[in-house]
Amino acid sequence: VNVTGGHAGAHRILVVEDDEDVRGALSAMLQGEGYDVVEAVDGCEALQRLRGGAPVCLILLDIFMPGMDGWAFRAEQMKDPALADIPVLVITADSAAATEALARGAVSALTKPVEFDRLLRVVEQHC
Amino acid sequence: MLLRTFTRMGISLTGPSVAGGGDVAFVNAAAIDPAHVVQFYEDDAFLLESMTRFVGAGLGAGDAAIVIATPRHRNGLEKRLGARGVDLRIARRQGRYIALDAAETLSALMADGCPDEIRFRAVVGETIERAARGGRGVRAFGEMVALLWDAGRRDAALRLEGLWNELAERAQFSLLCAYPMHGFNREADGESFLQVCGTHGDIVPAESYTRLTDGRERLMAIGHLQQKARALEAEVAQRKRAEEALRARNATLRALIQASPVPIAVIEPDTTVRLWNPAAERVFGWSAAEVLGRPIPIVPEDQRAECRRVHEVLLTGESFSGVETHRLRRDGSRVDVLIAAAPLGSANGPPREMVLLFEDITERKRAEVEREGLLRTAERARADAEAASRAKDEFLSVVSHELRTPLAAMLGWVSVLKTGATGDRATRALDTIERSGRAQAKLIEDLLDVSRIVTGGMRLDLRLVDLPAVIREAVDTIRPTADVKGVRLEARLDPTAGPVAGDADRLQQIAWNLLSNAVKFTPAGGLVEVCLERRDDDVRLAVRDTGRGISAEFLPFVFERFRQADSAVSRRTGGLGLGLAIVRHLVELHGGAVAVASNGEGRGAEFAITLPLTPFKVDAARSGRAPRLLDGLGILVVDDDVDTQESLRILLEALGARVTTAGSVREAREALRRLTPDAVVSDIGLPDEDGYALVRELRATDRLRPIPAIAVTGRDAGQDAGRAVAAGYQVRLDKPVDLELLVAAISQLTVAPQGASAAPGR
Repeated sequence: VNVTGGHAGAHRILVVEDDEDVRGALSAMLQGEGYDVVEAVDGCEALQRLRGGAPVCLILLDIFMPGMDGWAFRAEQMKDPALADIPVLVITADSAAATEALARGAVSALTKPVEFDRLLRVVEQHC
Repeated sequence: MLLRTFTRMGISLTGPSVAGGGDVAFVNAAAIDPAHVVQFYEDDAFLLESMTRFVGAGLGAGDAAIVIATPRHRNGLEKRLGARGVDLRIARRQGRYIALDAAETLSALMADGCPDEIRFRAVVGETIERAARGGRGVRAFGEMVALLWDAGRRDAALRLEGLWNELAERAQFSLLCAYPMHGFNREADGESFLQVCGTHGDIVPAESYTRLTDGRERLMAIGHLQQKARALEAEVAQRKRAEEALRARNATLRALIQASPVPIAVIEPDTTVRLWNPAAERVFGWSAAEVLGRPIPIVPEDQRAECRRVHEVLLTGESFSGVETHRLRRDGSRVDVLIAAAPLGSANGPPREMVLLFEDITERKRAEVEREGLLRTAERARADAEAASRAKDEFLSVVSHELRTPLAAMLGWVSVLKTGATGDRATRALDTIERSGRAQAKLIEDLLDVSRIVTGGMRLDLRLVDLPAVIREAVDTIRPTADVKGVRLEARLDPTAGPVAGDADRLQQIAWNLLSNAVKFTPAGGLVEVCLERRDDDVRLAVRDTGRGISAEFLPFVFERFRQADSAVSRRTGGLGLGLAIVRHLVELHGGAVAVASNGEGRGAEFAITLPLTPFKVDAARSGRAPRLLDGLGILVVDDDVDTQESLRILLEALGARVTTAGSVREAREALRRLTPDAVVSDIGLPDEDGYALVRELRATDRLRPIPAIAVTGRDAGQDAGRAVAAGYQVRLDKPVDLELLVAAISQLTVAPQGASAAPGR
């Protein structure tokens, strides 16, 4: 187990994204780099994965999703001491939402379409 | 001699209490005998004493007495005579005492309101003659003149005195007339007093003088009277000056009130109008003659009580100004006014009248209302603009999201491919990239369509279209998507539903948009039904689904641009929310209509469009009854070939159109200077200038811009279609012209609620 980031589950990443094609692309990219990837289609499923599965080192979070959106997920995450410390990387099509996400404590925020190299640099800082 | 006469007549100059004796200096020495004496008196007792002495002395001397007096004076006289031991019954019997009622006798003398000489002689003259029988002396006491005097009929009184005097010239009798002093109370009565005196031989002043006993007292009294007279004269003169000043001031006030542009009224507590100036006449429409002496007529029914309350306050001495209310004109219309009001007081005692000043502020109020209206309109416009701006911002954000998401997928999978992915992963990458690319192309197509709608650049390439085939194609295109999603797709297409005049590609776009919408909003296991049917005048395409449905609140807006039920939905379902707006616009361009129905959220929806059948088919179906399809439409036909011109003219006129022909662009220009046709049908290949030049000119002229234009081009159509539409034609048709199609195009373009050149924002 890699403990460089100080987080449990150092090589596992949760991808929360409603668009299947985007989610698939992100997963494929990260898996190609050797990470374990867990997928969720909205905030609700993301919480289930976090609470029911192995720990993760980073959460890639879309903001605008049907069901529980990114903001609601962040609120739930912060309320749960077991989850609050997991770093969150926001990926959104809306640049205003990206800025807002940084203000709300995301470690980084990227706008879609995401450049893979930039994404990888952020991921490597945390996993 | 005078004293003798008076003494004989029984009249005392020294008052009733002092018999005989006294100073004679005050009496006219020329007094005649028998005399016509006037007696002035201040109170009845003095008069009665005088009468008693006069009549009593006569009766005592064996003379006859005639008394023409008021009942009160007759009774008083008779009582006093009785007290002196005069037996009137005997005197009456002997014809020596004749008593007549003054009022009755007077009325017997009058003719046309004036003492009549003949009647006077008949009544009074004969009474005197009768009394004078046997050579008796006659004494007469008369009050008829005093009655006339009292009634203010002074001319008549003096005339009656004259008649007495004339009678005295013929008959021997002594006459005592009595005038109460209160008949001469005014300064101006001096003249008449002298006139009365002038008609009498002798004058006996009233008791305040005759009562005095000695000469010194009388001289003193005369001196005092002179002083009084002077003082009175001075007083009168001063009053006259004051009156003059007052009159002048009144005249100024009157002029001010008359000239005032402000309506002024004076009313009594019961609202009776006492003053009403010309401005009030002008503003309220009531003339002074109509309102003076009547209750003020301008107070509306619902304000009467309030008015009464205000009047009560005014009558306590309060005044007020600047009260805004309204009043009524004579014609019942409303006048907005500011009222100022004040009590008009008597110097002491409570106010008896109120003065009201009205300022007509109707115009000001109207301007205020107008200004408020303008403000509201501006406010609304601003709110609308802000809402539109918000909708656009939101739309842009949605566009951004919708364009970035497939881009993110594409670029993501490209990255994966670049890392050397193979097999399933590579296949998935390529599939996703292709699908996302197509989705993005579709988005861009929709955006361009909306842009065309907004700028009025949407054009149709009209042909006769086999609608069932077109719909079938759209169904086949969407079926794989429905299958993947697990949505059942059923189509019932009536093969006789057509043909319609339309743009096949656009009609397919309409069907595809409706179908993909239905599939998108219907969950797995649901059903989408497509039904195309032919009706009397049109065909109807209905797409029904068992999907999410539409709330009643959102139903009216589904065909608007940039609208989806909410933003979250747009993220869940994707898409820009433009499909239905594009559908509506395309359908309307085809002369058709859109409709939507839903039983609410979760209960499915039905979208339906209707398109007009081509007119000739309708005709045929109506067995020979030929409605004139182009009735009243003005059409300009431009073609350099005279035969084509003529055949089009004959055919179009047969359908009720008024056709003007032109052989060149120059001739068309001439014609357009004179008239504004409902449609232009133009050849493209024309001498000198071509049909493109003509349509460019139409679109560049405000008056002509809305006129639909149809281009007719030669065989090499494919290439010309785009160019004709780009130049500004709504429709391009092949040569030789299919008349059916031409008529369909004209009727659709002239009937469609929004033409191809619809204004932005429709």
